[in-house]
Amino acid sequence: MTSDKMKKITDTVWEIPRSFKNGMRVPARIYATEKLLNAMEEGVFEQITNVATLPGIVEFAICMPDGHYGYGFPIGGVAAFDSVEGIISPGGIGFDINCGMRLVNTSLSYEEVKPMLEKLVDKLFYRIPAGVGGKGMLSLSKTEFCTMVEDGMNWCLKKGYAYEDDLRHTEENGCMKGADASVLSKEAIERGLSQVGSLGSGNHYLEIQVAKPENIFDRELAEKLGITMPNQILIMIHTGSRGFGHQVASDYLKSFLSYAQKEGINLRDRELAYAPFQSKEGQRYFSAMQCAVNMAFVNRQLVLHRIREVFSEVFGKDPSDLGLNLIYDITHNTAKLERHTIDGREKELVIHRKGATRAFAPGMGGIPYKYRKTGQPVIIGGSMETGSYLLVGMESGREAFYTTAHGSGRRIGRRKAKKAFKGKDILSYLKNKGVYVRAVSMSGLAEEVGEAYKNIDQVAEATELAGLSRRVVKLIPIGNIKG
Amino acid sequence: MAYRYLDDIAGSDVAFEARGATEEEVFASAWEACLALSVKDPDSIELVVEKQIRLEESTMEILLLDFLQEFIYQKDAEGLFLRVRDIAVTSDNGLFCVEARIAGDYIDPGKYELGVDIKAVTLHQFMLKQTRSGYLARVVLDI
Repeated sequence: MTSDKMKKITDTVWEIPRSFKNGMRVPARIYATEKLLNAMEEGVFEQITNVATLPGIVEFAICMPDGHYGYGFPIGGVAAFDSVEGIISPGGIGFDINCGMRLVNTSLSYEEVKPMLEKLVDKLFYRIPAGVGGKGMLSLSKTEFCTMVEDGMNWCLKKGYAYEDDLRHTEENGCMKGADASVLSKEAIERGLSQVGSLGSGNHYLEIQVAKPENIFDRELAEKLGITMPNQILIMIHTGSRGFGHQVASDYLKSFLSYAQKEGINLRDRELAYAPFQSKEGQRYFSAMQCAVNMAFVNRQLVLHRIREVFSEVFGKDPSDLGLNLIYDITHNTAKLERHTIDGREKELVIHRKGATRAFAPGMGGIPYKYRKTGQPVIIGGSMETGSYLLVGMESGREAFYTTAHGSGRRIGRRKAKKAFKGKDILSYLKNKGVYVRAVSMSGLAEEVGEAYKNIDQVAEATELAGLSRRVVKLIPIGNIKG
Repeated sequence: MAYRYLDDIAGSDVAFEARGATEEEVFASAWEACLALSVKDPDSIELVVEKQIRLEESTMEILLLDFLQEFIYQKDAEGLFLRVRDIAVTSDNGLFCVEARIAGDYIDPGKYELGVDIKAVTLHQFMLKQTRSGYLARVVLDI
């Protein structure tokens, strides 16, 4: 986009005015360094300004530093809609509802894990279902599945798959309370039934990581988040609501297209199909979406349950003696009701975050008591080569509705990556670098090569420069499982 | 089957164009394009399970979307890789209908080399149009 169409607000905030496109109700704002901004596809600006035209949008249509071309909204898109006059749109949430990150602590050091690494990764690979057609860990009846998606991680607690602390350290305590399984389609339930407790494929992974002393940005914050010793081992999980969430999104996208036709709404992009939040259609989708959010929390919890079992077997100790505690579980594909101050008045807003992470500041409600002084932990996942970040929310994130980035974003398309790289070469290259990888699909692995992604360091730094989140530690992969 | 994958439409995902002289051919080509992404050698799929499906929609374009969603449903819910054996696409009084006999095998990583997991058919640049030589569909899949 040419600079005459975009106004520089600060070194990391860029504004596209309402005059850019007919129908824009608010300006669009991009949070990025100049370098990241210049690397964004034109489609990002087209999409974020389309978002700015949606009814009931408040303040700005926002794009995060890792923004890239998506469907309807760009990935990294954030929009707040008035809960009375605004809308809800599946295109602002993403197909993989509650795709998210979970970071698990251990009391193990790299030196203790290194001799066991291949055994650990192999066992995790065999015990955690992944890849195409990978059946989940559980076999549930439809009735039990519906109870599970309504109760979220409370269901895990009742069934012995979770500790109370796991719920405390999960966004929304692992359960969005408006979930109502009666609004789900038969297809959504049947796709979900066979996938509860599975990693999936694509960019989803389970990773064993190390917090090296030289990668700690803020020692005091790191200690408060539980990273207290040199070369501490952590485990990261990136997955979501699997086929269930995708089916919910597909079902309601179609339903909202019919709504648009019925109401004579002229959509700029069919992926931006919406319904008024307070309408029957809007409320049904919100309930269904909350079921998918809960399913994803359960999914990541079951993966953690299996991790605890495997670590316990390999080290011959109880999981509690290995410090296998959840640091935080955070979603980056949701719509949520939140209260924010707009023009000096508190308002209830439907905040859409698509490929964007909530990053509440120190002192805010809605984050665990343990993190009230640090700010909410934020987990930004990178590639299996470059590492990931643990950060915390900051007060200066207010203008972005306390939101930050979610990942590094792709630089090269899947097919180009597959043509340029071979899965087996990547396996041996990473092994030489000290990263032991197991993958269900070699072609899938080639698509996820480190070179396919943007520089995670630049994204994490940009979030800090923009005042969205503060870096605590960069985590380096040593073991990875991919679908 | 006539389809080709498109490199520059969906960086994070996969896009393809499918062609056919008839509606039946374009539907079957699009289904096959999905299958060839999911399994390395679709021709190796044994025909041990057979099903009959029937879908109805108010537009031909959304009918194609539903048809490809059915591929995903069979993969996820039933654990099956299925190929189109017979297909008929009809229209009557503004209602479009596809009936197909699909057959294939259970997903088995020990038996078949797996590809990527298709999760949704998006409406992003989704298109089905009549051309001089038949029909052309463009599909972007969420992976």
